[in-house]
Amino acid sequence: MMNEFVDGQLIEDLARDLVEDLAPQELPIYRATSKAFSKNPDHVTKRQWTREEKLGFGLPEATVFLTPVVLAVTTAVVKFLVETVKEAIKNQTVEEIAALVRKLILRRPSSAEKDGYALSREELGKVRELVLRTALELEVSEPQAEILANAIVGRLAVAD
Amino acid sequence: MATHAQAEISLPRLNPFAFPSDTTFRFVLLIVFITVTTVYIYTGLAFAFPSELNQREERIRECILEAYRKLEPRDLDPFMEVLRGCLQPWVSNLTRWTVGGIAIVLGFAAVIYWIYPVWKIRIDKLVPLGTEDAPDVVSELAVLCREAGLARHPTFVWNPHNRAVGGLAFGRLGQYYVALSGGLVVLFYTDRPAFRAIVLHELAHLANRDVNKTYLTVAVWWAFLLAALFPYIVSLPWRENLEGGSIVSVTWRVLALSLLVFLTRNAILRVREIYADVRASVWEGGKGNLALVIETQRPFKGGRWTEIWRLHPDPALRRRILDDTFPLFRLGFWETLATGIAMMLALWPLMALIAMFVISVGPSGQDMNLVFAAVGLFGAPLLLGSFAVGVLGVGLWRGHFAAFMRGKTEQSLGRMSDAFASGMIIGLVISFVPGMGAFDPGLGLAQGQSTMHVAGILAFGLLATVVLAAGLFLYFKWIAAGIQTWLEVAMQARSPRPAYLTSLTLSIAVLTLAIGSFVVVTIIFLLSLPKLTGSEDVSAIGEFLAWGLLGVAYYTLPVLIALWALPLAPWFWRRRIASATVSNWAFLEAPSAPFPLPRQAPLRPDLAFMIGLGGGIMFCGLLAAGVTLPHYWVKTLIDTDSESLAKFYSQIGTAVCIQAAIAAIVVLCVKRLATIHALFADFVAGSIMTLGVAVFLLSREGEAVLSSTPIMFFQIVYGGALLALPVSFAVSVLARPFRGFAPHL
Repeated sequence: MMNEFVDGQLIEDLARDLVEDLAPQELPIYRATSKAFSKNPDHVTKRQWTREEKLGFGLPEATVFLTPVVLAVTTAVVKFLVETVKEAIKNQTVEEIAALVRKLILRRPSSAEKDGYALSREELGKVRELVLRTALELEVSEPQAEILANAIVGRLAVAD
Repeated sequence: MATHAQAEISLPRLNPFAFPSDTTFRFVLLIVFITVTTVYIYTGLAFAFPSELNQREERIRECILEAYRKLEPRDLDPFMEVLRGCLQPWVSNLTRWTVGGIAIVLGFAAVIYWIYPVWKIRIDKLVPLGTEDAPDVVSELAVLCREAGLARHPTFVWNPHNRAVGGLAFGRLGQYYVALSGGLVVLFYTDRPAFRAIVLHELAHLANRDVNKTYLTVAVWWAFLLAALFPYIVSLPWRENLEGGSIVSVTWRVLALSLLVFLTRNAILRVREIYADVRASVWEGGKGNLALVIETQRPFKGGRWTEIWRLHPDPALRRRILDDTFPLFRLGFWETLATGIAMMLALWPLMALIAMFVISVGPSGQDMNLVFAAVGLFGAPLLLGSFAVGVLGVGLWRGHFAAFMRGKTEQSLGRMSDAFASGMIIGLVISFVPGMGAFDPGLGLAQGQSTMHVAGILAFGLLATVVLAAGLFLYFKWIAAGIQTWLEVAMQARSPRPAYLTSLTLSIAVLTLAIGSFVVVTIIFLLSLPKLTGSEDVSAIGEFLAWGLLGVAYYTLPVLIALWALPLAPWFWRRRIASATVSNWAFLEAPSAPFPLPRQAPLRPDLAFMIGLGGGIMFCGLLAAGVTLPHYWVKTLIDTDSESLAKFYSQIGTAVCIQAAIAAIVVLCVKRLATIHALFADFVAGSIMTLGVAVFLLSREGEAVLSSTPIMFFQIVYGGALLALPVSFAVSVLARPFRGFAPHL
């Protein structure tokens, strides 16, 4: 379950941006995939077809479909950011925290800084580590995980 | 054999869908294996626990021996009465176990098969793929269904979370699904040809109608594990009535049978993929996208032994078959071996079950014996004969068709016979379970008082298997001869089905009668065994055997006629064949120009008839002139002083010798299927000769001799046929060097 600070729309917006950049060919089915994800976020599996479907037929590699991974990774990142902001800035309302995280993510980290918070290098490093870990757990190839991590950290670190 | 220069140059892909597929063969094999193994397991379970069945066992053995003592050759009633009295309670108990066991396994399988699609949808989190999800994909799927010519489109479902790239056809009767992974839907946007190839492959499973076979296979396997093998293993510690040795003896057989079931299941799941590839490649129209997808599959490591454990075929083989479907036409060694095993495994239990059923519920008296004879002796051979010929006969049809189209001779007959005979011997070894009562070929004698009984039964079993294997080789050779001639008729017809169904139905009838005869002889032997070993009157046994063999001769006459009639019947289509081209059903893609029918030497039943007729008339002439074999030869040969008997047998002997000469002449005159023509000529000659002898005896000894005419007919015709076979073989071998110089011979 997403916690109360986590903005579902924010996750979807970020994921859509990333899919647009990294896998634009998946955009036609992005809506259906994100809808399914919002219903059952735990259903993204790392299992590949050859192991899962002994009676089926397909391509042996399972790396072409990035959207579910992007959705899973962005969820983890948004949760992390919410926790980080909540820890760093006390006495903020839920709405204020959500707004700050939104500013951090949607290519406006400088405006978030004006409001009193910006991610440190160390925190950006943690985000990067989180993205890599989540992506690799879902059996994304290392180069693809790197690309995904760079894309996310790049957004958060625009102001630097 | 056929020649076809063009075939080597540009033979289009042959159509494997013209004949029943290996998927069907293997599915039938699986069902037979599962049924037989379940019968063995539940028979074991029936004997495992303290019950009426076990308490009565010793009494039943005594009772059976008592029945044997009442056995008389011409009156089976007292024997049957005693047998029924002692077997009935035991039979109904055992029938409950075995029939109940089969019903439980099949019932479980039905439930699993029915709920599997629902379970699959739930476990894989599949949801319907709607136009709001991916409109382009949905419309492309509709296009693909139309291209595949599916009368009813399946329901497309998908899992948007599944990143793999794959499809799966599944479902149950009347409700089929094709599942797409999220990755496959993405593939539509990134690599549409590959997407189309994968979906067409899945739709091909629907068009090939193998989805039901596949999921019944899966269901029946799980049902077998849950309702047969598991109870058997769980029951082992509680088995009070079997000694350790017996448990081992039964358990290794059960495990061997279970392994066969497992391997057959895998074989079904593998081969269906290849047929789906071929079907999909036809729809693709030579674009080669499916080939590219198959080339991305991980190659197999390990040899043949690792392949049998897998559920998917070797990608290299799949790729080869896309280019050339020839391997799909040859019946494999393992299928043939497994068919032999299955047939032998099923023979005794099936006969015992049928016999037990008839004993339990059949009427008493003479009617009872007739029912017993008809159902017990022919029911099991008919079922198993249909099964074996269905598998192997269709395999031969396919192999001969492919070889014929390539202008070559099908070479697999010897290999196939060896595999089938080996399978039968393995089946015999597995099925001989001492202490399994009614499933013991000795009907309980295996644990009888005399070890001679056991040795006799084992020796007879081995001998019978060798005789059966040799007989089956000749039988397959005969089927192959029929196929060669009927292929020409089938090739110019709109479908091969009428030709192969007619030929196989007659082949099944012949095999049923042949196995029925074999079983009659076996039972006569088993029934006479206690008397033989009991030092009773040997002449009574001789009389018993003679009556049995006369009965066999009566109903094997259609077999003798079918031996020549079936392969030579296509002669009536000779004019149509002469000008025909190969029908389009033979190819996956219609050839650009009409494909001429490969040529074979003509059939000559007309010539064989004339030679037989001439031989028969010549014999009648000799008979009228009093020229027959010298009587003293016959007297010495059959050890008799009777002048009239010697005279009679010298006439019969002369008729048989002339038939041998007729066979030799026919073999020299006819180039194709010479032995079959020789049998036909001998039958014609034998019929005329019988008529001649009957008229001769009628004129000399009056109407009283007419009653022996059938026996005379059998002696002349069967004697001639038995001699014709070695003579034909010898003459064809001797004449071979000369045929090069005088091909018209």
